[in-house]
Amino acid sequence: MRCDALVSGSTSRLSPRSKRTVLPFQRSIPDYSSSHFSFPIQFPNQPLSLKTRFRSVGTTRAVADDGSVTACSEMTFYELLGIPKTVTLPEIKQAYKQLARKYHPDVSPPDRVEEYTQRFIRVQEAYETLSDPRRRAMYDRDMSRGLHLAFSGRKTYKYDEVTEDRSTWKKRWQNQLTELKKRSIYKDAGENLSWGARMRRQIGVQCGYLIDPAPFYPSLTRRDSTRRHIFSCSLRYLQRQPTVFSGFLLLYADSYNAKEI
Amino acid sequence: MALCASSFSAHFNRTVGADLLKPSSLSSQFSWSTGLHRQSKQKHYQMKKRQRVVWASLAEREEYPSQRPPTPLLDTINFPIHMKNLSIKELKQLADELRLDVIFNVSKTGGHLGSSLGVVELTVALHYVFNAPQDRILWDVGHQTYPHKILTGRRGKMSTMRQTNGLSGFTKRAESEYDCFGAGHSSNSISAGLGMAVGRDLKGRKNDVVAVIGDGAMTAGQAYEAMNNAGYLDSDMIVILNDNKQVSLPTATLDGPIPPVGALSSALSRLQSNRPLRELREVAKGVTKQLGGPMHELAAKVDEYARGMISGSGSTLFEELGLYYIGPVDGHNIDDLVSILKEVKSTKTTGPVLIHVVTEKGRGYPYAEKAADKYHGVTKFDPATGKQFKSSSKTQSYTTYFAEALIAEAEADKDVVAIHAAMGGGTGLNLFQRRFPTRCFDVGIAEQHAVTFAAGMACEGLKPFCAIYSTFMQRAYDQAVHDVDLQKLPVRFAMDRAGLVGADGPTHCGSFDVAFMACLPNMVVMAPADEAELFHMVATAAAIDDRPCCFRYPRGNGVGLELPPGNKGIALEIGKGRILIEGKRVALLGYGTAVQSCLAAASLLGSHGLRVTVADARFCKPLDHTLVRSLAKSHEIIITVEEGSIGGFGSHVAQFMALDGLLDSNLKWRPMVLPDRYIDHGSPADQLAEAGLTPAHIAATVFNILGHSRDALEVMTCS
Repeated sequence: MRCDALVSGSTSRLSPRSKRTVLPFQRSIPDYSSSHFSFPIQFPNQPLSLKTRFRSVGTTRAVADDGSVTACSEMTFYELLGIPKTVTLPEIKQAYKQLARKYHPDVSPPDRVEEYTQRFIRVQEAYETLSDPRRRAMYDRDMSRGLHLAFSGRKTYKYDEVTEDRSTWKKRWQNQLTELKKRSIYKDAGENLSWGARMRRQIGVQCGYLIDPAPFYPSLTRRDSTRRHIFSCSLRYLQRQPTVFSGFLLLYADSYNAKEI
Repeated sequence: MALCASSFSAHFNRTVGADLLKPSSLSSQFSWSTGLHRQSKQKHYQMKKRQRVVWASLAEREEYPSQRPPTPLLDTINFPIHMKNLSIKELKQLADELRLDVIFNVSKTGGHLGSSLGVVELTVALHYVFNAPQDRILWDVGHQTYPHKILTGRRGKMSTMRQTNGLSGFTKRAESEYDCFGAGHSSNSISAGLGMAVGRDLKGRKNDVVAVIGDGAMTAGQAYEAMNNAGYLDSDMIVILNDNKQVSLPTATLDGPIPPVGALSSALSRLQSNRPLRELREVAKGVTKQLGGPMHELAAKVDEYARGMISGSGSTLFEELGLYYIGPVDGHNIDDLVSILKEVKSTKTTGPVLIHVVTEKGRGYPYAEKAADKYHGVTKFDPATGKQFKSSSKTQSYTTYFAEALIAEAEADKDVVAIHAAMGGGTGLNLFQRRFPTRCFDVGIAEQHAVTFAAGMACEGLKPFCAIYSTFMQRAYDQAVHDVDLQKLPVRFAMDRAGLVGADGPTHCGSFDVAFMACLPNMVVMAPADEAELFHMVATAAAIDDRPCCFRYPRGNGVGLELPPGNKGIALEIGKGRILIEGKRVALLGYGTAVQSCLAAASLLGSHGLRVTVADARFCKPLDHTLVRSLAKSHEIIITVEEGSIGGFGSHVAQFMALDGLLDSNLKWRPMVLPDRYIDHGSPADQLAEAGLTPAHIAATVFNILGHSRDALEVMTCS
């Protein structure tokens, strides 16, 4: 049972990637083997999906086992701490401190240690979530959507979002890399007179692997440079006002450009 | 129970490590490996596979043993060249082991943890793809270079990190050829990298230059100056922007994580998530593909030209400066990092390229990930629980006393405001910020702007206190001269970390501030001898309203004097020092906390029967002329003691005495200042001994002048 498992002390804080096998009175081999069940099939670069699956199993197990656990897990964090939704950090802290002092295992009456300890853990998690502005924002968003993902279930959701972002990033930078390669072919063309381009040409010619590319490109005429100037102006306009119309304008200008050259 | 778990795992590790060739014993212990004890042909392969999985799992299981963790792959790597034959999977394992090693080393010595953990994968990828030291890899802040040091031949010395005669906590050219440029103050890596790129071009070489800079360091102007110049010169170099959304340092107030300072961070975060525009681009691509032919080519061209419009509203910043933007990239995914770096390295003629890498500070160590300050700087701690071993002391630090004094002043006067440059924790202004959130300003790593900003506030009648470290004041010197002192604006400078600073070394040593502040015509320069004096000087500074003033105090704890009631000091009379002990023949004139050393020296001399005068000058400018005259007239020997360089307090005293004719008689004047060389990092006591400013040194100087060289030797060797 997860709630009991967390009695092991205030240092064993919940974290997104921990298995939390630090169980004081449940250190049996079956438990250990089940926690490491995933290892032979798990590769170091994909720990996330398996772990999240395991954790959600754990959560439902906990919820199913103990009636009192489900009862208190239905309360939102705000109700748990006894504060309205629009509170500032010092008030949250104050509420947390009061409840922590009340429910701490060391000061709870001996006959109700278990219940008080569970509440203490819940209160602690509530405080951790609400005191971090980012996590609080996400929690509020979830609540407004009607999903009360208590405790660790919460964290799996966060990770799915993150992994989704990462895969979209990958496509973007792969595109950027191909564009870099395309750009680098034309980078030191005749009209690029930056210091670096001049040095590269010089070194290339010296080393013999580069023939001066200038003759391959048509020389700049005055008309070309004006057109290029118009084009770059329209590009700057476009960057400020990205509308569909300006997109077509750009396409037209570029096709005009392309025809002439 | 954590103890039980760690001992179990230690046993587990030892058996696996020792018994590579006894699969039967192992498999009997671990029921999950039932499928693996097969024929001998497969045994070795299975063993290696299990072992690899086991070591990687140590980090995932988050058990951090207090003894050195097993790092089989890292043990084979002494220099980056040894990494060249590893596969990507092995690189990941290496990164995990490197992380464990960093945590273990920092837990034993203290130091900076969070930033190192965030760049482990980046370090591994950089050293794998590039060939240091021919390829120059520059780090912007030295304290993220612990993994870099481990990988470049200094793993054995990691236990001496930040200690006397040990490794420096920052990159240091004199330490290793793999440290290309010293980094202690931030934001200099792009500038130095550009310089190295230009040097390479002019010399005709063909190596790569990579400069790593953080998003916090991006708030400094020098980074933009460098990028602007890099875009203009168009020399090939790679800038890696290590973005961990911590645009302030240390990364928290007292009450929780701090939202990033400045507008830059919102631009960077917009870069990371602009789904609608990207989807539009994908749709456009699909459409043009359908149309086919020349339309497709045109569209590709448009795409290339108009990347600024489509790929994110923040990348135009870098594009406009002339750097090609790639990113954002997940900074903890070695696959991605290696492929990007390889592509960029293999492309010739790129010009300057900026790769935007997103990392998480303190990643991989859950206590660091959850802590508000991400374990930026820690003392020795226990890796299994993350608890730091804080040494207890009866007195608090000067930083805390300054913050309390400032709060008391601000309560009395509503015009008092405080400004710091991304050092809320270091200057103690986090306490001020909690008490007066609207009167505390964090400007990011921009000391120059902070000083002129304060000057602007002073014009409007506010009373700004600039809390900037003495060493970072060097950056803001022109603003202090031109904007503050020349116009005689009442800005108060509170220079923390004056003098020698211990483990941070010469990059953070505040030895020059007396010299460069006291030579300014309108500046009032003072230094407290102890924490009670500090309270009074804060009050004095608040009271000086017609000219700028500054005061310096060191790193360290107070001496234990009684504090003024309500933390409110009393303004001192400007230009008046005090005499602490009356004596004969010899006068020790101290400035700042050197007075404490003088008092200790006086007791040493007292035990030899010599009663000397000890005076505290309090003010270097305006100097207490009557005090100096009276000391000169009634003593044969004056020794001025300060923890600053030549050209500071002692020089001002000498100047005055020479002009006043006091040196024309039999008076002997000797200065005791920091020597004319940089003192390496170490413990504060070691540094003082190296500098020659301990009480024993002062007493020995006295004896030597008096001609009692035997006593001098005795006092030097016995203490």
